[in-house]
Amino acid sequence: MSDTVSISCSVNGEPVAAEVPTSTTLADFIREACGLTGTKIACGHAVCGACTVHLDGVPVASCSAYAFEADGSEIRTVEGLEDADGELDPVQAAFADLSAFQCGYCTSGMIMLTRALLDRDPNPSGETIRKWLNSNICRCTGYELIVEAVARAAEAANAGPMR
Amino acid sequence: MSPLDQSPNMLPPVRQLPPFRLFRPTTPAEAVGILGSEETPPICYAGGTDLCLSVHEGRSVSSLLSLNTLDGLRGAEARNGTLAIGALATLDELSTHDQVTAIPGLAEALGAIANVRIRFRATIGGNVMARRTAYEVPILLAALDARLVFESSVGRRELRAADIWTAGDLGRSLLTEIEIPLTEGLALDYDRTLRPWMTQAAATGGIERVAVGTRFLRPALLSGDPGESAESRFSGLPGEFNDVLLTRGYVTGTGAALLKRQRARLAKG
Repeated sequence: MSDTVSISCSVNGEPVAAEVPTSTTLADFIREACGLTGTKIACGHAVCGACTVHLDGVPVASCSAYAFEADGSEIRTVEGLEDADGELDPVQAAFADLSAFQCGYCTSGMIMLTRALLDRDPNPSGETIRKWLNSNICRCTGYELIVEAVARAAEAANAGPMR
Repeated sequence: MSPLDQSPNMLPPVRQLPPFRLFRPTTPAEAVGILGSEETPPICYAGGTDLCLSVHEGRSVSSLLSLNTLDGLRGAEARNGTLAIGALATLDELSTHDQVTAIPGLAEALGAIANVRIRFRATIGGNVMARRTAYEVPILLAALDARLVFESSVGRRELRAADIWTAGDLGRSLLTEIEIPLTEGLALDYDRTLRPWMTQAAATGGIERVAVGTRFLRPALLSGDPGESAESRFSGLPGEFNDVLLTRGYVTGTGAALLKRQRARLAKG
């Protein structure tokens, strides 16, 4: 039995095929095989969420998922959020407008988690936002600006009044 | 190499594992066959949320059996007086599942474990088979008098969820299903306000079952007449349910106090 595995998947809408060691994590596959370094690795065991990407629409900690799981799947990273014209996703724009970061290391994971939330619930309550953000860790900001950015992103996406 | 790299106390994270043999069966029967035939049974891998932790703790991985390609073992359905839950159902899926919400308190309890991101990946079967005292699903299932259904190359085996701690090596068995008897008036209350030190699940429906979980002790199951006092229920706590962080006396007093609150919530509905 081989120590490598073939992976064919879609990364941000682009087809990718690679042969990697079986133990390659999804984070390393994205960063090294795909060259997409917006996905950050911090804790290395699924606690902090800095490495969050979408695997078939589900937010996952890519540091502790294996690349072989992506075979036949769609991966979406922070690089895949902006549209073809380079316009930022409302979540990215809200984080940038509010400077909802300090060191920025957790930001791509926060943005991907938020995108997954808004994909499921375009009008999340404050409580829902806080419950979701409980998944990821930021050691700089104290979360207030991040919570505000998520609410603003939802508002921008819906073009509704500020709640 | 940095001094940290050389420290025997620094175990490699999951992303530094050497390549392993990878099995990706497509049917439960194929998975059971692999578990039964390999000299060393491969580690079962579903959501992966526990494996990375155990690798940090020093577990070596020479072969892995990915269960994510299996057909079935997901979802939940009422069948023959039980709620049958597929072992690969995720905690997130179950926390909103129609059949699960039919047991008052169960979906809420499952939806409170860990966080959203983890619940999307973590499976109910993985939470049980990790056999970690700090994990919460075995506590809920013990209170609900659930049965664990295993398949192996020697056939089907059922185990009470409360007995998972004393069941010996299950490395050649595949947990396929969890069955919760749907007794009349079945309802669950799960109190995790004292987590991580202590959590407590209380279930009604015929007799009352109270499962007490702690960080390091194997969960205790106390059951009896619902009319019995809370203090009396906890007088049955085994003598060995005691450690330096959580004494038996503390659990007895605190557990009884929690149970009174739980009974009040269950009565309120």
